Amino acid sequence: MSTDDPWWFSGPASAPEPEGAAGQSARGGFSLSFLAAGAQQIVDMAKQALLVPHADHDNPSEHGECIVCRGLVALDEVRGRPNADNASDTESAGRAGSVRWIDLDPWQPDAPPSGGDTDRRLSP
Amino acid sequence: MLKRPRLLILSGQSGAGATFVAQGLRDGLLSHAVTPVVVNGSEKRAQLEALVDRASETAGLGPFARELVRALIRFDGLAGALAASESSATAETVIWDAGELDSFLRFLAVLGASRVELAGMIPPIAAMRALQALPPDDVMAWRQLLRSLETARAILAGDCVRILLIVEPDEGVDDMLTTRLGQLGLMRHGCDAVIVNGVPAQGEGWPEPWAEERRRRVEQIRARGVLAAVVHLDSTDSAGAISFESLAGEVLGIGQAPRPLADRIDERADGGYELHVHLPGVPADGVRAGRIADSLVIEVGGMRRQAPLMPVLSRCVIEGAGMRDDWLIVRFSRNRALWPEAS
Repeated sequence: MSTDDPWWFSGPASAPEPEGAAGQSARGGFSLSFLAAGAQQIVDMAKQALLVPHADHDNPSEHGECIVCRGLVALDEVRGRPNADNASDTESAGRAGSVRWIDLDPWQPDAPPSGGDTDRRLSP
Repeated sequence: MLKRPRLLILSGQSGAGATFVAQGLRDGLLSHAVTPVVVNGSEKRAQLEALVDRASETAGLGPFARELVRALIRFDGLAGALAASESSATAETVIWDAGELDSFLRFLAVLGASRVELAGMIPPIAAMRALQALPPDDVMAWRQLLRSLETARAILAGDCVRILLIVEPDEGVDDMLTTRLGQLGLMRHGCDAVIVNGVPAQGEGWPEPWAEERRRRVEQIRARGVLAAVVHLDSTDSAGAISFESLAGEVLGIGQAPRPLADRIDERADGGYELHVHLPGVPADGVRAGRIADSLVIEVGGMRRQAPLMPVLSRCVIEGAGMRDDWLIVRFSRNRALWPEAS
């Protein structure tokens, strides 16, 4: 690796560099795969942290503590229209980030049991 | 063979005494020749905040984006899990005082998040550029943090962990436990034992029928099939020490309760699919399910878990869903617009 390369660059694809157990390259820098995995984890956590609590906030103006709601309110203000207070139900339901709830069937106590091994297709 | 617990996670309702029990349990374990370390994450949380702030500054994030990043560390559980995973490298037994249960459950949701395809909130290259400009010490700290998170994930998935719910035998404890046990199942974990804090011992002059009612609630909990250990109301310091010594002995013998089974997908003869999600102990009227973009949202007692749908289901529409015994079954049919090969 030349000195012009960024410190995280672990080498050309044709000559892959061996990685340590934690993804550190033998030359002391990070490997791309390790960084990507770390960034992915942060993205996953951010999505869980922000989107899941927000999912049941039907009216953004009532959830000042939620950063996504505050962003939506700010966007509405920029667009020059009031927030969800006056939005129609259809509009609310169609807004990105709202949950479409399913009407659950009446309970069936005598159904055949479920179980078994994990289906491989479940792994994203 | 019963594996001895190495990580004891104590969490409970606000004010139920998780910290008090953690300290008492530490003393009690010492009398059983086990040397535990108690962690609660408070010190680690401050380190995390400083680390994240420096990274945000280095990356040149604006105030809104910085607040987004800071949202990550609002989870007390994150700091506690990091502290617990780091302590587990050296300590024989770690007691993690995870504090309030809502916070702990949210952390479990975060830790259980699947690694999905990058959907684009933060492109990885941006994270790399931010890291590139960080001081070497911080780079090392981030690397350690990511390692510790992986360790925490592995430890929590292992069989040396015991999750202990701390409750007080107050009115409504039974209903509360129904909800909380269901929520733990929703997060793909389980309660290994309930520690009932503040139970008046018999013959110590506690006023009846108040004391009798509290003792009766312990029996109600046991009648659910959940292991329940008791911390007595202390009339004297020595009685308190004996109570925790006894509790520690019980805790050392606790096995891991079964965890929810893995999700399963069945293909129907008509080309549709059924997704089976195991929710043991969750009453049918305590569940809601819905879809948000390409994720399935399941709610138990107001607590939600959002999991990305696997690709085959993300190309389907939801027909309906229902609870059957301990399983939530969500029915999907193919979205013709997204299955050109089926037309």
